[in-house]
Amino acid sequence: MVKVKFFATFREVTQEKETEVEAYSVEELLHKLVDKYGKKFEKLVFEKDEIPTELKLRDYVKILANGRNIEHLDKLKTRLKNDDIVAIFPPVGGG
Amino acid sequence: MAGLMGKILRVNLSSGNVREEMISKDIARAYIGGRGLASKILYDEVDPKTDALSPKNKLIFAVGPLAGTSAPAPSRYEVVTKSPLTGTIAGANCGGFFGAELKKTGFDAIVIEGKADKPVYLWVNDGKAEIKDAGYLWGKNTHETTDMIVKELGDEKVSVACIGPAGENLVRFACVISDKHRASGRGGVGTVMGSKSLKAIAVRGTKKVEIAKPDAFEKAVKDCIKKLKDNPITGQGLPTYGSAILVNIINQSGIFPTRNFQTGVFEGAEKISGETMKDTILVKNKACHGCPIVCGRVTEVKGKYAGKGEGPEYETIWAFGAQCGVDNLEAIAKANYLCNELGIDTITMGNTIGCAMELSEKEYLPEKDVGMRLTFGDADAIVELTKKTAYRDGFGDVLAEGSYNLAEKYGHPELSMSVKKQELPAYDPRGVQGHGLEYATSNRGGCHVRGYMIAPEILGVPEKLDPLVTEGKAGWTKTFQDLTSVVDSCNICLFTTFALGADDLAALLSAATGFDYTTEEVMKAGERIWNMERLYNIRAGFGRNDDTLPERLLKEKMPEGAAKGHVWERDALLGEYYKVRGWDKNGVPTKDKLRELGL
Repeated sequence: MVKVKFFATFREVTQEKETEVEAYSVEELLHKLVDKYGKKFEKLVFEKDEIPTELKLRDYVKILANGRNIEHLDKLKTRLKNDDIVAIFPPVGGG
Repeated sequence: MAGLMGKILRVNLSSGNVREEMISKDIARAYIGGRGLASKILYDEVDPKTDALSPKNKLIFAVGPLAGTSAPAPSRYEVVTKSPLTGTIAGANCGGFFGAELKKTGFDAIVIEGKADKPVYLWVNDGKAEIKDAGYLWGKNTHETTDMIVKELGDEKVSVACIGPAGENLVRFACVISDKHRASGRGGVGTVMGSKSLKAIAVRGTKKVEIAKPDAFEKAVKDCIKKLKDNPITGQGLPTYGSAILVNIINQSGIFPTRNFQTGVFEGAEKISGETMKDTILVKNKACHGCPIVCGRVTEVKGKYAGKGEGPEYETIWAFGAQCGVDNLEAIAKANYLCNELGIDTITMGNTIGCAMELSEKEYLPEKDVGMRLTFGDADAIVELTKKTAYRDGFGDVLAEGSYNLAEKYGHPELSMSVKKQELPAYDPRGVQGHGLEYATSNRGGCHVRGYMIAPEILGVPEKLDPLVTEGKAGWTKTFQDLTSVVDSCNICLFTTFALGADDLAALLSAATGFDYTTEEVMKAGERIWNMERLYNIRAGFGRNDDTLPERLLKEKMPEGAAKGHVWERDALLGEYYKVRGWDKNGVPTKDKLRELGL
């Protein structure tokens, strides 16, 4: 199982700080989370492209797999394995 | 003059002489205002070898052409002096309301010279200035001082920037607090103010800023505000959660410095996060002057650590939190309130206490010297030691000299997490290589806001750069540093740059000043300011050997998290940085570069 941690506005939608999901890629994991948490979650994560089958992450939504932004790994195709930790953040800033 | 008011107020506290000077258009165009203008004054007038606490040092408050206008977030002002903490040029930047009010007095800069023979404060009212007695204010905290001055002057609209007991007692990292809760925090600018026996500057003005091209300015402002509202970070993230929202993402990224940078993952992060703050001590949001982002936090704590105020912001939460191993948000908030009341830089205070904790746990620092057993995680200690530092009481007298002097005194200077003796802020550079380069090369010593590489390396703005990679980071760091020099010289808030770029600043500046800046000229001005500050530091004795990080970050591999196994790669970054800057291998700007910049 992969441990998923939610932060900021994601928590308001999921109503929980973390969950566990069986998934072997980030894409699969996100689909399972959309199934679990519904439309509001989907809207926070994905931009709807003109071609509905092509999923694109919303700008500035950050998904970390074991602390590494998936943008610097294999993006949505990033592989996951048992006990991996995925952290999902909405747009955040500060300094 | 448009944009700027065109005048400098010069106050000599030794002689009591007060006079006005005009600003030339050439200087205004080349150095913009704010940080650029103030740094130019220091560069021209204060010998870099001057003792920072001698009357020969000068303290310069300045605002830029966008301060006090209808531009977005035009609240900032800059305080520049020679730093008593680092020996470099110091520049501290602050929001709130003081900057805009200062501009309305009709002056772009106030230059404080000499030293008063008794405590005084400066009252600047609509183009007139008066040195007034501050004997009755000496010893008071910043809240009391502000209230007493407002009462004496009989005008609720007066804005006050003052020092607390820490500045009076020459704590090396004392800050200037304006509007009770906002800090010109870093580098000991409040210490220099204390050394001049200047307790406060009070300002009130009604003068209007002249805008050269009102229609173009209005359009540029409208465009910028739309971008800020549409941008998910400035339009949603910052207003909803404030800067403290960074706690979790920085911790999850494995770069949240913990227990004096011994690791980058803090097990107590959730308890001190922006999310927890929103659910517990947050009362409401608060905006600085003219800000559409509204990221400020008003908080209140009840019980053992009772208090009320603004913040803590992200950096403060880290400094008193993870850096000291403390996961008690209420104690952190209390330490933050105390720093604002007593006039102390929160980053250096928390970082220095964390350093003392490591020295103590490793038994380099005897318990008898501290007066208590000091260990990581002690929430009461961060509160008590902050108070003691402000008054130089007992062990507070040692802490008041900063972490470098503390660690050196006990034989382990390598345990000071500082650059050029200024304490590092809240990101471990082993996991953000470009940001480490900003730490090593910042003109004011260890600092995150003069080239905030966290934006591209962690937050993905304006592009997504891999934080563990060194290639290309030198050029990015230079660009961020030059752009920030411009932002600090216009005096709009740095947070606007999550949504705005150099072209937006050029449009705002051109319309405000009438100088018809291109984006290229604006960036060139930023580069000029950066190089001038560098030259000042070189003449003060700094060079390549000082452009480095603490040994721990160069040699000890990050033990866990996403950056596990990494150190900061100085060799891969520094030489390339000097090259892209047009500096020689010793980090000295070449003659060609200086000619190109008109220096």
